[in-house]
Amino acid sequence: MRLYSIAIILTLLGSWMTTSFAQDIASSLYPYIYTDVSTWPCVRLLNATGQIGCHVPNGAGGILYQIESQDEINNFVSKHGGSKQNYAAVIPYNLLTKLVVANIAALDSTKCISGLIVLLRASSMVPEASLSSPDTSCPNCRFGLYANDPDQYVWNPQGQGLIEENLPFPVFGLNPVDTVSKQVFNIVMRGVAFNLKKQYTDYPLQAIDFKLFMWAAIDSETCLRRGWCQVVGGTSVFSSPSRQIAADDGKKSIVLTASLDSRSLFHDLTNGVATSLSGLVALLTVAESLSRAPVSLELLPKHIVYTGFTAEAWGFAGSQRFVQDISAQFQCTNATRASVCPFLNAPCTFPCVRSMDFKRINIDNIDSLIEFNSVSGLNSNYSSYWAHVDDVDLTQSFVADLQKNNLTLPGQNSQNTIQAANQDGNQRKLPPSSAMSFLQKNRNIKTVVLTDFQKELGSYYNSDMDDKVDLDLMSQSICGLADATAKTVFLKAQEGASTIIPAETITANCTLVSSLLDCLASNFSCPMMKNYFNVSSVGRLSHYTSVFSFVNPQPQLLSRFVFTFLGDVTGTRRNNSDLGPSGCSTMQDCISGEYCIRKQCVSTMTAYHDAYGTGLTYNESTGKVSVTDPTKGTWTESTWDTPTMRVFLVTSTKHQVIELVVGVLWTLISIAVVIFGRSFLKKTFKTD
Amino acid sequence: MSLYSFFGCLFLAYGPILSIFFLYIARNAQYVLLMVSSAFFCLIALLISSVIWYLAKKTQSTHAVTIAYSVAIQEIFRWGFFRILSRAETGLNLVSRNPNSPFNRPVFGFVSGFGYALMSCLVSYISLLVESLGPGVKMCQSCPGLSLFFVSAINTTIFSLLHMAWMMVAFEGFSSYKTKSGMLQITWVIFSHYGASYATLFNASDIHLGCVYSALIGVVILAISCAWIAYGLKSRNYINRHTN
Repeated sequence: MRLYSIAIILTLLGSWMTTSFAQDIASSLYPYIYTDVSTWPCVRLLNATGQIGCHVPNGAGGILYQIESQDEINNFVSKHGGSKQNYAAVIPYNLLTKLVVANIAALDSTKCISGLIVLLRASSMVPEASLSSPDTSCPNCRFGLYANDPDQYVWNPQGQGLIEENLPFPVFGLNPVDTVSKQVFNIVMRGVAFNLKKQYTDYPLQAIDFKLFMWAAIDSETCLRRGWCQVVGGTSVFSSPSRQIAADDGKKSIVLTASLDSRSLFHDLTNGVATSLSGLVALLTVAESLSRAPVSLELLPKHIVYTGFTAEAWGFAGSQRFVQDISAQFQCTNATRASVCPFLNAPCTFPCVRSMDFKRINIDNIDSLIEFNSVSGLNSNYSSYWAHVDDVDLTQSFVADLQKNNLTLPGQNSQNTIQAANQDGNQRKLPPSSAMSFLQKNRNIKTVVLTDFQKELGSYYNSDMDDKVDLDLMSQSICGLADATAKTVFLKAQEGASTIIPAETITANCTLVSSLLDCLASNFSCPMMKNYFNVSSVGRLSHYTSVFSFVNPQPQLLSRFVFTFLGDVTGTRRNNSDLGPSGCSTMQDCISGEYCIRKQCVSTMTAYHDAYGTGLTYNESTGKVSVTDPTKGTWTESTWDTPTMRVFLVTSTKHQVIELVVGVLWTLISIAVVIFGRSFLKKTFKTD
Repeated sequence: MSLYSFFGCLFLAYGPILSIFFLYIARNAQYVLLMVSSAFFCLIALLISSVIWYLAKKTQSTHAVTIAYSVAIQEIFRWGFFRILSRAETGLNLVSRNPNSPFNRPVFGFVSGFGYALMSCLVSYISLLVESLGPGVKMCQSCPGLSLFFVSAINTTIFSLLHMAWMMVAFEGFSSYKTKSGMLQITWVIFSHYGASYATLFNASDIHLGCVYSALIGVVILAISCAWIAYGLKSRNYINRHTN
């Protein structure tokens, strides 16, 4: 009896201990078999017509197989094409072309290559000359100004078009630029080297498997209805040194614009230095140069407005929505909403807006527009810049004004003025740009789009490899362009004045260009950034637009920076009469309407503006988003489970079958022995 | 590793246990009850070993120390179970098929050994077996051509047979511990249990073909124990024949 009670107590004690401190063998064995690695996947996005990107409904995986050239693909097909074994190909970025993807997709029918790991950087692998842009041959052209033109110019003939394909297998990017990615790169490459040494036939071999489940399917309308996707969008910024700018003040405006972000196949790796970041840096530099003008910009006959648009790569969402909002009638009804308006002291709760500043910009009063498109200088080897126009006659004098100012560029045989893109007799009109959104509403705006290419967008356009920063050359190039443009804008803004102040004193700050490029492309927690924000652990930012939240819209880091920077250069610091400039540490330390920028209270005309596809409408009374115009931008991003990727050893199918046979055989033998033994013992030990 | 490996290792590890259970033990309710009681005792022994392992954090990865106290506790509980069984023996014999058979004790020993084997092998191998369902595999360090799951399955099957044999030898030994042969049998069980357990350390070592040595040692111990049991049964049979 005592023994039984002791036994029961022991059991209870044991079960309590195991349940509270449980760490079963499975979870402690897992790390010895599998190595979990971080992933940078291609994800699924949808629009009004369908879906693009990657999706893995059930797990997929295969033996790591290195492919470095088209020949190796052919070899692979001949050697392993018929086998039932799955492979995961590790390829360099330059091999990610439409042809290769088609080849692999053809293999997919035999379930051969179940996924791709794309290396953006590896010492031996990428010959830069063979890189091509993953974007389509005419990016966003169906949303642009010339969508209905019969002979639209094809700006990206080398484009692979992969960025808008619905890929039949998962693709993961790998760019070893920081600690984590370098670690993952080493793990994958070790596995590949291991397999290579064993010639892919001497099992066990290293394999990899992925999980990448996307919840949305079909198109934007369906997934928005089902609640499985979110709208792609962000926050644009606009600013003006004219703090009293109003729609009805009769003054014309000059708009300077750039794109705040870009796009690529792997959204976590998007950097877009040449594609659009260069343009943003140029815009900010011009703003800063003009802020040091000898006379206050508010007094000039024309307003200057700086605009930075987000989500331009997604059907020009930012600029289209901005233009739509500034030209449409604004009716505030303050009706009941599905969710609370997220802005403090909103001037109107239905529709919910942060401020009414956007109504102060009058589209009909916009006289000229300059856009800084791809202006890194990379495409022209830092030797020239081109001015693209829509209407040659209308902009003739504008381009001439731009050409009056000298350019100093670091490249060989560099041109010393901005070139007219149509100087070879070919009027290609505008490349894909935010300017198109303005021209769609008001074709009389004198528009110039500045780029470093004349005929083609270039092989770095929206590429994942567009993170190359040749700091000296690029900053000198952009600085030169910003200098010439700032001088032109200053003179242009004085058109109509009785006395014109010369623009010689307007100079671009090349150190600023360099810092901006470095911070925004490589390391957001740089010394310059610490003047504006308290950041320490943010390294390389992803320049992908990401998703827009209607319930809690928070501007992304880059938008915040642009807002703060522009607010600083266009605003006025308040001087406390006796104490000097008013210091502050947060916005609450300043009076209402002021911002605390670089520890001083600044009043400025700078504002945010929502940016998401104009084909989508947010119904504030129901809280639902729906597709209202399929001809405009309607991009949404699918909700997804955390993608996982793990590396491990596998044995051959033959080996596994042998194990099965051995096991079954052993069981059959033991059954035979037991039956035989039973009858033998019965006979021998008769009383049994 | 997929389903092939899973079923292969499952049948390899639990083949003898499954066949003996379904073809011998399950046919007799008394055997089933004995088996469950014995399994319970083994479970308690394993539980206490686990608690000690959990508390002795410094030696958690020193397998030699873990084996030392785990085997000791299992043997103590083996003896404990024998004591309980011997108290209940008259009752057990009464309800057995053949109350006066001298083979009842060996049979009880066998069935108890089976219970011990079942519980010990289930606890030690089942988690590993479940891992074999996944695609990844870990190769055995000393025999790199075989997977860990396979080598462990072999060890599990050998140990299941060993536990059955040890229990039978131990019962013989405990019941006649005053005699020299009884003490010898008890000593044999303890030392061979330690021997077989320490031999499994060869699997994870860097000794070339270590897994073969560990399996071989297990098989040799099994053979010796079986020989001893056969001898014991034969002498019982001889006595039985010549007294009836």
